[in-house]
Amino acid sequence: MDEQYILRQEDLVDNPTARVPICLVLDVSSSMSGKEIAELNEGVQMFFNAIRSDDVAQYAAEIAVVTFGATVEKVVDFMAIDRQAVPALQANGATPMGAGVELGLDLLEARKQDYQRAGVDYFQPWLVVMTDGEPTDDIKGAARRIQDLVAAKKLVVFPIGIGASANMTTLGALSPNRPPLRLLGLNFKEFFSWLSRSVSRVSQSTPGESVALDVEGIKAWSQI
Amino acid sequence: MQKRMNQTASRKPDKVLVDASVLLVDPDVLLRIPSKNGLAFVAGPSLDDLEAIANGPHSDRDSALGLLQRLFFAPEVVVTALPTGEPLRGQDSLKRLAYGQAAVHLLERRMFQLRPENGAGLLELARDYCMVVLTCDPRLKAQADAAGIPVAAWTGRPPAQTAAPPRPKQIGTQPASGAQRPGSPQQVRPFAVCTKPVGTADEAMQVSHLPTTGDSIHLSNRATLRLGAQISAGGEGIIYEVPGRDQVCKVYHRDKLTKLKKQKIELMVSRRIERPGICWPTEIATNAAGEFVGYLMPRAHGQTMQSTMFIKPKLEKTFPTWTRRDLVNVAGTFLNHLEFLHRHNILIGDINPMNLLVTQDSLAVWIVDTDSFQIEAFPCPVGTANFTAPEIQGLNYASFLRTEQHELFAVATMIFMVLFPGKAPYAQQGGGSQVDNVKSGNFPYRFSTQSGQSAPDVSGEDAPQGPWQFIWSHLPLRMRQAFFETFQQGQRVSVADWQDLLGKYWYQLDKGYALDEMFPLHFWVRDPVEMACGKCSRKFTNSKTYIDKLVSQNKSVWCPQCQHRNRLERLARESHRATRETVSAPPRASAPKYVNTGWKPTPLTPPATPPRPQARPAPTTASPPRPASPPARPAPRAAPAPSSTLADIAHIISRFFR
Repeated sequence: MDEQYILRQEDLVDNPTARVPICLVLDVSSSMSGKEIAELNEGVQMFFNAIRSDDVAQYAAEIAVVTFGATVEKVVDFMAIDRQAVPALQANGATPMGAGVELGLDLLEARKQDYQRAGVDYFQPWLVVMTDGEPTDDIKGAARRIQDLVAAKKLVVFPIGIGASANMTTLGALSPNRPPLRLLGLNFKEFFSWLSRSVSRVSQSTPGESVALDVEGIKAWSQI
Repeated sequence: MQKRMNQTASRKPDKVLVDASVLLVDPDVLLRIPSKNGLAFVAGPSLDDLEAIANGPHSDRDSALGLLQRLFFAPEVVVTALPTGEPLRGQDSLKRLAYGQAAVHLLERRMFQLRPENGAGLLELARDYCMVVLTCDPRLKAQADAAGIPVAAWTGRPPAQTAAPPRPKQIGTQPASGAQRPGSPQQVRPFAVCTKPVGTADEAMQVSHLPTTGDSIHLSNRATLRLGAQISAGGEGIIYEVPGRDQVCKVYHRDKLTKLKKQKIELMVSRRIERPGICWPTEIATNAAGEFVGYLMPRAHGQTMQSTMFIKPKLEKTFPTWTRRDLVNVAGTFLNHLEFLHRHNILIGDINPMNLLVTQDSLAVWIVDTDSFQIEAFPCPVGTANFTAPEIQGLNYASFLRTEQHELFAVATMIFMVLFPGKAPYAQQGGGSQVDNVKSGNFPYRFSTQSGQSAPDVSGEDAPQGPWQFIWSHLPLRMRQAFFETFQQGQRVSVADWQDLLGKYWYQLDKGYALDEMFPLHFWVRDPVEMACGKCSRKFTNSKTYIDKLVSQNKSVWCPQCQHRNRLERLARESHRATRETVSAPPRASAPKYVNTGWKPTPLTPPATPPRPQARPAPTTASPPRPASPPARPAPRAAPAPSSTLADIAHIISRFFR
């Protein structure tokens, strides 16, 4: 048995913090090459660093990264953040967003089962989908899965469109409760900064009912 | 004094075992017993009880200390048999001490049958030597009656207060930097008790300028202070140092400055609650224009409980010298603060580990964010999901006033999370979100309401993986009972009772009756025997009954470390298997352009048959962990996926034939 795998189980058993599992599903098709992928890479690194430097979030947040482009890949798997190294993403290929989302949902489901097997508390998972264009595969299955999960309050989803060519209608199919958001320019850093702050808020005191997202803060990175 | 005494002097004298409760209020009973043809005995456990009182803040500490000194410094003679001629049993020891004109016999035992706390040790000795127990503790009397041991209730000289059993109270008393002793008379008038929250709608207040570092703030007595560096920023406001004072100033964010907030702070400031460890507002702070912007409060010390204590590696790094006794100290100090606040009709409301600060000195606990306390008609407007009692889950916290019952649920949860560092009480295998878990009311730790019953009320098979169920098994029965009553039966345990339970637990840790290990790897064992591990050959102790059973089944016995490692490997294997089933489904029909993922499952060594039960201890009083059963409950929504080899083949084929 791979020693790394055993250590990951030990993390589950030794760290009793209630987890927030987050899956980033990112478009790395060829249209993202150049400035876009560079900014995205910086944003993702910044996200990981922001979580690492937060006293509570570093033990609560668990992040996985899935990319879809020429291939659909699990780039980073769920585990304790201090064990993770995020590689630089390369842009290449088509936009199989449906398959990417399905893989992301599968990973979240598998991680939830890990939590249940170990007896670890968790908050409902987050799925962040970012794309700059039109999906080249069928997203109906993915959309249906998301709708079922959101309706049962078992998923929080953030579909984000990048740039002018992002098809917001298709993204809308992935966002049952609120309209999808379009990133302001290439404000990846602002978005990921807001995301990391939102993660911290999940495990803090709330006024009751569900955690209200920082709607004001959304304005910093999205066009309305 | 009522006693069952024989009148005829020719009969053998009664052996009277005097317990701590009587010794404390009437030690001279020891002088009166011989004059009534009795022999006075004092048991070792009673001296432990007296030591406890002498070390705590109990009002009888001086009497206890004086008594102990008299007994310890009395001339003594070691004897090998009782004055009645009976021999001593086992490795018991007996000393005859001179007490005034009389003699007192001190009877001590090293290995008790049961855990000797809560009177069990005393009763065991009384039974073994046919003694009459003399007590004024009604609980002990009831236990003795139930066990058929002759007991006499002391009703002699009435004590100054009611003859309550001497409760070894909280261990930690004052916080380190405090000058004031809790329990010293508070002159402060308690707040009024209200039933409905403030009815008026809140209004935002105008503020022209929010002071920041370098600006000055003004107090009610016209004094001005300069704000120093920013210490922390939160959702409500920013906290600044005040140079030259051991105080800080909280300046609210603009959108948090409302009329009701100001009224609440004014109410708080109107009572001088000056208790070290509670960051209570002392003065209102205004800007240069006289507008309300925040308040002054004492500076807290330490870091949050959440970030220092609630993750194992962090706990070991931040407080490397701490043992379980320190955990009990933290919980006990917290309870002292609560007792103080409740006495003034204040409820904390949002009890959570981000609002409590701890330092190396485990007797110092600081409570911050006091402006969210519930006082009179001002509710506590926030809460934390897993500390919220099930009956108020899902409500808007600002819309109602919490009751003491709601508070006690949060108190029990906090005590649990301190003793099981960071683990929420309802976290369990197959659990859901924290809110779902609390609402379900399923407490996963093994407990029986009646011993002798074959099946426990809660089997403990859903207890979370890790040291948590071992910690549980090492807790005293009364403490497990209190948690069970709260989390499984919906009852609530008072702060005073928790203090009592923690006090007793502290002694047991101190005396070595309870295991003082932060993260034990094994259950409490009644009949320990030492042996070598079948895997790593290291020496360890385990239950003799259990070992005998395994040996008779020709299984090897492993040490806790090897068992732990084995458990992790099993979890890893199950996770691997389940992940491949959930994630490696073949290309979906709905996605004709699905390309080979490029993601391959990690090569798996064929799982060796997991070594059979030798890895699982099952001592008589603790729960058997779950058997290595098939993995996760929620089934993937697709049909069961093929094995890894088939999926690999499918991917390879699809790549070539697209």
